[in-house]
Amino acid sequence: MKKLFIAPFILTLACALPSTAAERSAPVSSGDQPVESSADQDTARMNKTMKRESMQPMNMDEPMPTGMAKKGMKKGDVKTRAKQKEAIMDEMMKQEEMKK
Amino acid sequence: MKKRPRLANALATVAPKQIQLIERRLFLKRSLSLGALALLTGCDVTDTDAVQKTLWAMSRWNDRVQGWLFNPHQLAPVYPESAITQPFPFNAFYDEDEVPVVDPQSYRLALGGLIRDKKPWTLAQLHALPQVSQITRHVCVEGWSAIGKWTGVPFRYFLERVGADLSARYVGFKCLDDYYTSIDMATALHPQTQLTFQFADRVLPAKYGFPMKLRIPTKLGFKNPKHIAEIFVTNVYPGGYWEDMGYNWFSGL
Repeated sequence: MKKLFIAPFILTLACALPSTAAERSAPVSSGDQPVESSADQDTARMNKTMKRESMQPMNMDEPMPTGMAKKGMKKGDVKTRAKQKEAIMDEMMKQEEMKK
Repeated sequence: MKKRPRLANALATVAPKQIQLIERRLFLKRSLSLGALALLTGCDVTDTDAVQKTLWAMSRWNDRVQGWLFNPHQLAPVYPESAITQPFPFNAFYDEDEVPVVDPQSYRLALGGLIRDKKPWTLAQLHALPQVSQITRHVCVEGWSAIGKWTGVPFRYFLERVGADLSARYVGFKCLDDYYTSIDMATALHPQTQLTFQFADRVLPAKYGFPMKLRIPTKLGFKNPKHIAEIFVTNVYPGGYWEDMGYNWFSGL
């Protein structure tokens, strides 16, 4: 019984260790370099980018093109689930904020 | 049934006890094979409520263990510019020509939940925040990875700036393409977690998440939401689209 309880923990630990070890062997600097922020230039470039790209409305009934999708999943499923989730979360978060 | 003469002769030379042993071994072998076959053919077993509940409980337990193991000071590997993957792959639940169109002038980032200052942010205001760059690896659960250069404001800085409750458990994201996901607060505060506005030193292209995405080099790709419309902080478990479909919520690397 004890073995049954410990086995999943060891499995998880075994899965986590290789990536942790890989991270440790990698260079330890964050590599973050400061970048000059110029909001105006950005906005101008952004407008150019947006104008160049022509987009189509999403076809909700088509199957999802990603390898993450299970058989039968459609593009429109995300919108449906998002609405359901929002309804649940909004109510619970209202209560949470009232308690605070 | 008549025994073949050769087999009968062969059996005659073996002691009866040995035959019993062979039969017992054979029986055990066949039982194991049958058991394995039953497991292989019994895929429908996973669809039952009890099995699903057990798998969900295991996944949540896995989240907790990953949370315990997560080191908020351990940095993900960074790479030189020469290692950047070109072209960087596009991946979403829709096709590339269906990427949402966002008007940068009218765009506002909404804030909700346990945040003190919930006033919406314009893109110009967001771009005026101090920014940093990182060259890190994006790892997809599908089995591929790619290295890219991302520039934006450290997410921790943004959360502190808006007065988010940093002791809360979750940060959730609602996106303009209806995608939704959430992360743990420890990851949100990690020094490399970034609210990204640029890719390869240029404005974030639409296909990579314009006007902004959250870049988390310590998590799998589907935990990096694109086209963010709202950020909220809560203690209520928000899940996420893929997470609600059975993918592991923490998904740390």
